[in-house]
Amino acid sequence: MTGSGEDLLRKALSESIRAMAATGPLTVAEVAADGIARFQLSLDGAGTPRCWVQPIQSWHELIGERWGEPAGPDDQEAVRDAVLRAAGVLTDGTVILISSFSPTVNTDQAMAILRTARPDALALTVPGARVDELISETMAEEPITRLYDLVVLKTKPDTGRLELTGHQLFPSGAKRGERTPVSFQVATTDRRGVAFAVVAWQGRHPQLVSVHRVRLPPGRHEATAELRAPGLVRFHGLPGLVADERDWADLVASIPESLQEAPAAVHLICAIEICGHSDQVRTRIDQAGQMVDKVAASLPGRLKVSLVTYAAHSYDFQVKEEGVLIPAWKVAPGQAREELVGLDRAGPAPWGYPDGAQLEDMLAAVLARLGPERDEDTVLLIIGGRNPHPPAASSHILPCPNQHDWEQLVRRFERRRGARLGVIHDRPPEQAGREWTRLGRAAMAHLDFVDFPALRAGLGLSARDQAVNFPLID
Amino acid sequence: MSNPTFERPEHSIAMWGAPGSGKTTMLAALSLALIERDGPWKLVGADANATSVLLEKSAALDRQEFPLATIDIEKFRWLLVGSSPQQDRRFGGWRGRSRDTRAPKIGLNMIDPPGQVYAGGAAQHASLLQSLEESRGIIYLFDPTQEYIAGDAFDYLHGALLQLASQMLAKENETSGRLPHYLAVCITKFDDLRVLKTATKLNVLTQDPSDPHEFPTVEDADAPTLFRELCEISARGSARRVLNALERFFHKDRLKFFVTSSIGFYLKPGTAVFDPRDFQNMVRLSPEAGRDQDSEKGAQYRIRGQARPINVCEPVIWLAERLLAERQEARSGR
Ligand SMILES: Nc1nc2c(ncn2[C@@H]2O[C@H](COP(=O)(O)OP(=O)(O)O)[C@@H](O)[C@H]2O)c(=O)[nH]1
Ligand SMILES: [Mg+2]
Repeated sequence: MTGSGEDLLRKALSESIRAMAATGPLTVAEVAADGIARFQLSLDGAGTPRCWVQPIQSWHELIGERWGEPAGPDDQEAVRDAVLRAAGVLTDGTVILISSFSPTVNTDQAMAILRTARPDALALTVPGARVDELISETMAEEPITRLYDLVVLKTKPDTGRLELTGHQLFPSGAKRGERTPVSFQVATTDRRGVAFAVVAWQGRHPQLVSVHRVRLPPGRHEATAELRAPGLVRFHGLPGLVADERDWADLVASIPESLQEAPAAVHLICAIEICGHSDQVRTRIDQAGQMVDKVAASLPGRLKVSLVTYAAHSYDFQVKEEGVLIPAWKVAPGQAREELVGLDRAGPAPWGYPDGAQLEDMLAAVLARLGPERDEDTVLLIIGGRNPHPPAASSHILPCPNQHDWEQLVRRFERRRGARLGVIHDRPPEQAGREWTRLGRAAMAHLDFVDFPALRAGLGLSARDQAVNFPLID
Repeated sequence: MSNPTFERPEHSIAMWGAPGSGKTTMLAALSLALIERDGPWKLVGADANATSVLLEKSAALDRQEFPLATIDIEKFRWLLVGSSPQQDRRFGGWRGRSRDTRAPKIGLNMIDPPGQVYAGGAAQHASLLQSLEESRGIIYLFDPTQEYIAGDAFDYLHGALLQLASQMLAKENETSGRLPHYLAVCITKFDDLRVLKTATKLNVLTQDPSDPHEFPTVEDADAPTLFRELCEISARGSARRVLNALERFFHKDRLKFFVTSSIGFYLKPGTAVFDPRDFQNMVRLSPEAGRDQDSEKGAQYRIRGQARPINVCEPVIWLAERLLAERQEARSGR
């Protein structure tokens, strides 16, 4: 019966596919009602059976009207050649011949020719069999013959170096439908995201099975790998996964030597000079906001923000001095954003003494508020234009009325564990002058053209710029 | 004032210095400082206009503002008025002996060359020379802070001196080969950080033990040293020739140097003693503040604390007394 015929065929296909590793390619020739189709199966480098299909060639193409007519010996020769060529059976390797239709003159004739050519071939007549579907189903049902790993990065504990390695997804012999959960970390990636590369191991040699990519935020993630067929692993829980067009060699070459330690917790203090032209003050506030956004995006949940404002000293005893203010201290980035909106709405502080600003008082206030050192990174970003006042008369800039010594305070700040200091100055670096050049020694940007990646790199906040395009497993 | 008109004094003092060297401020400081000082001398206007100019300038300084420039300030004339020699009352009956018991009066006017002396118009130049010639006392204001930048003092001085000298020395009765004038060279703006630093470096700073504020000072004897050094560091380097020119044209004993400041040092409110870490008494104003003012150019600076003039009376009094003495000698010698 058809059912048992199909079972037989399935079994024969399965056995032959499994045997391919030893016997070489498998050719399945289907002699159908309307012509001959050919399926050429072989194993790729990863041991995955692959099938190449020669679409059906019609009887008309193959033999014209010849079999209905009395034919001469030349004609018979030509028909034989055409049939053998279409069925592709004159190769090394295993051949299976299938007649998938109730016998007709054509099918009988063709089967006879093929059987004569390959008497070793298994020949089956399974009328109504859907050979293409049977083959693909059988292929998919095959257990994998090699170990499948996900390509991941691990940090070697002794050296801290990143090492490309395999994380097992499926053992050899695993079959369609098997699932393996994977838990991994994502660091910062390039714009195209994390590569999910599956390799099959042959001895010590990995062979790429597939590479897909997806953009994921840094942090811990879970996914489930499902074996859909040999050579086909699907990942669940990674929406947006697409085939990765990146060159494999480039991807591997892009792996940094070691993982930049993303700080556990970062405290970003934006100290903003709020006196001056209203446009300029507004730009300073705006750039502070951008910085907060950018750092927050790269350190989700790990950023605390403080806002400090300072303005001009008053050297007129009739004009009361507005001191350093701390509108927000160690708040979530979102709240800091709201405070910045408030600052912007409040507008600039009075112009005041034009040659300096309370930068040194700000440093003192920040240090006082910071208190003892903690296990966190403290990044102080000063956004302004005017020079700090000297502690004592030493230039045309009047000394700080509180005698704060900005250079000493800067050194005190910089000596703290995990402390970084950077500036966004109103003028380009070459015009910033000695004081701001000193303040911006680690990181300096120009207010009108802030190069945020460079600024973040200088402030040790650039983990995001390191492209780690593979999942990390510890 | 009950006595509004004065006769033209026989002698007068001219304040002379490049624009911006501090003449106007010194005039204001002088009028304030003379009042505070023990002694006979006071400064008044020779007429109502001059008086109001003087009041306006000193009121500004009192408000801790730098007095603004007045156009044609040369046209005004002030008088240094001393007190009449009391002891001469005893010889009241002897007036015929030409003993003068009227209060001494010395004229004071300002020469404010509008640009370089060489570049001035011929008429202006002539009037400058005329007032220099008429003034037997000259206060020459040398602004070291300007010298750091422009170094143009020599231009102001040398051309005018040459012309003055040739006019005077050409006169037949001149035999000494030097100008007959008394010259008080005032180094202005001693309160400026750079000037004070230079004085510190030269080790010419002292302190008057009787000064409760312990302000640093430079003794008159050391003033030429400071002057020479300030000339050395002048931007153009030519200013050192100023000193040579002065010594060439004036009698040694009619030339004296003073280190002055019209605004003096800042004293923090509530403190009594000079603080070397914080003494600058000039504050640059915000451009916004300048805009509010109805002044033409707007004040760029104001005085941070109270103005405490340093050595502004001394050169004037020195000159006044010299001229008086000379007058006396001339009369008695006749
Ligand atoms: N540091 C300092 N600056 C002074 C002093 N006097 C005047 N100045 C400055 O010099 C400027 C010009 O002074 P001014 O008296 O108008 O000079 P003038 O053009 O010679 O009459 C003032 O606006 C002040 O900025 C002083 O005693 N000390
Ligand atoms: Mg003036």
